[in-house]
Amino acid sequence: MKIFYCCFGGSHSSVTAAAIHLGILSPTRIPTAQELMKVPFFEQQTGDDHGKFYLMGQDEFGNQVYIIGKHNLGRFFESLIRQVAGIWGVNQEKLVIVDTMPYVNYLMMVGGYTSRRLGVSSIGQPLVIKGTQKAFFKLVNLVERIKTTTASKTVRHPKPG
Amino acid sequence: MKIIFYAYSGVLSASVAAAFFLGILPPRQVVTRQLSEVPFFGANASLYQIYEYGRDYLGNEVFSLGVGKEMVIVPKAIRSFLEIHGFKSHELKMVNTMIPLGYPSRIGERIVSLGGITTGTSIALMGLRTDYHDLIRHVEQEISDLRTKKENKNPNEGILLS
Repeated sequence: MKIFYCCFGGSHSSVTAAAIHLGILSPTRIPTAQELMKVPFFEQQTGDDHGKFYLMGQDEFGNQVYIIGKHNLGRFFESLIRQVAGIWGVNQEKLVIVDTMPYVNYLMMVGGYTSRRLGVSSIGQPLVIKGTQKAFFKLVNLVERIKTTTASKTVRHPKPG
Repeated sequence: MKIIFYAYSGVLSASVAAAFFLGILPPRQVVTRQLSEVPFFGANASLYQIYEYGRDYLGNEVFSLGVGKEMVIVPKAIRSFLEIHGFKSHELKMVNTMIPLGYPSRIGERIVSLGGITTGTSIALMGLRTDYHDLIRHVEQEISDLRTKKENKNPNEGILLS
């Protein structure tokens, strides 16, 4: 199964959700700024990366977890991807598309725009980190719902060692 | 191979291009009536809806798609999605039909993509009659690109038009 976490730029909320899903970030406490900055793809995507699916890793059930920046396509993004999947014969039951945009707060929006679009990371980055920390437990709840839903459809793959 | 003609609305220039590609429209001039009779032309479109037109005589499936102002990100997302599912790039050809259009057609496309179907279609009809020659030349250029790739006989390029 493939799980896609999507947000506007694929840099903050989707990456944070994917990191929670994959156990890179602990779901029990708010991550520090340093921990967030160590997450792969966090605060890294540029405009050229938008629209590309990036693999963040594989969860304990063997599901591949991706992130993507989808701009303002909103619910249309899922519809479009499912149409494409249908045309090419991709099994849609193996696709989970999760929009993390509803969990994005103003701090993340302003910080993300300042940092990623305007390139002023010295101002934008602290804002986006503060915003991500503020939204963190909402993203944890979202990921838990997704994991509960997908777990019933997948077989657990124990981690080696 | 699957060919997707895409534009702002997906139901104007992209429909015309798809119809020309399938031989529904002639390779020379067209009259307004011929354009308005093209399948899905001026349809009450919702963006990001993929319309299926059929297959050409070589078995290529033809579609149109309206992408609004997301002319870059939508094709990129489709390609990327197919890539992660193991499909090769030669299994999809995406043709941007906005490229050869003049202002009236572009304005019509934009208005339709924003929901003004009747007004936008009327404006685009005028523009597309003028732009028809450039549009079909653009489509032919894209087809010739495919044929060139075929003639290169690169094993990674697949079968394309044969």
